Amino acid sequence: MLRMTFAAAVVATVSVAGLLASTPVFATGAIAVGKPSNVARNGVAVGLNGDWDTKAHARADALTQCKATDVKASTRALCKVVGTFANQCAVIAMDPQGGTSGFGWAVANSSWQAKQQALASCRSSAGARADACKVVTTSCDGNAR
Amino acid sequence: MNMRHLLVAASAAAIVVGTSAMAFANPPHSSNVSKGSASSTTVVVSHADPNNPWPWGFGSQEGATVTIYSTGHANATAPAGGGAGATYGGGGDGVAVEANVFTGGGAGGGSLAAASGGTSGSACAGSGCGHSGGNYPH
Repeated sequence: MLRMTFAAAVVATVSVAGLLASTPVFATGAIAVGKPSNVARNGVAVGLNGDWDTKAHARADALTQCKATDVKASTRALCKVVGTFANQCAVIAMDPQGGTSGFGWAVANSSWQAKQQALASCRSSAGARADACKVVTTSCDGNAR
Repeated sequence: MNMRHLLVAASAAAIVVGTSAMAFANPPHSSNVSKGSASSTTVVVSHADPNNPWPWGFGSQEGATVTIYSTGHANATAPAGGGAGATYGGGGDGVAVEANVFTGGGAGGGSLAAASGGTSGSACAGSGCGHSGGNYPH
């Protein structure tokens, strides 16, 4: 009986330990974007995060971050949460030169995938300056890398 | 050691493993990025993600001002102007880098010369580094 109790205890404790190891305490990210129709003329603003405890907190923080950017007030006013993600990566790519149109973002299961998609989006909007697009930030949530 | 001892030992080990796993959970991190309409770019990073250091210096536009706020972990990498550990740092002539690094990381030059125009700033490691980078540090 004692042997069975011990075995059950080991199974239970290992299961709990495994669950704790694989499940982060914080596991929600969000991305907010303020994107006018003419990025070259009005700029663009982004707020993003990861590993927040709830979707509501992540969304609120992303919006706050977006609205804290140093761009035209009319661009900041366009900030809105465009997505939340868990165990994924968000990537922002842009032409870093002000007054240009190149900008893209993506959320995917890995940072590599998200980078490819964000760069593709940036290049499609950059016109003749497609080669200037660079990944400027990556935010991964949970176990995604 | 009898079964009762083993049971106690297994439970204690599981608690340690579980506690360690919780301690290493990722802290929340946030950042924002913007591109201005003129020849200036501002990048603000808070709680830089140590798992995703930015490899690129950002203030490559002449006359641009880059502001960094990094409150991340000891090995967080400040992006603009290149942080300690960044591959490319610096910016164009006239780029000013204002750094406000509270813990860890560092603002300034990366390990290589700037991509265009500027010079690599001094590498910075540990806490409290900042206020350097570009040809016109301040």
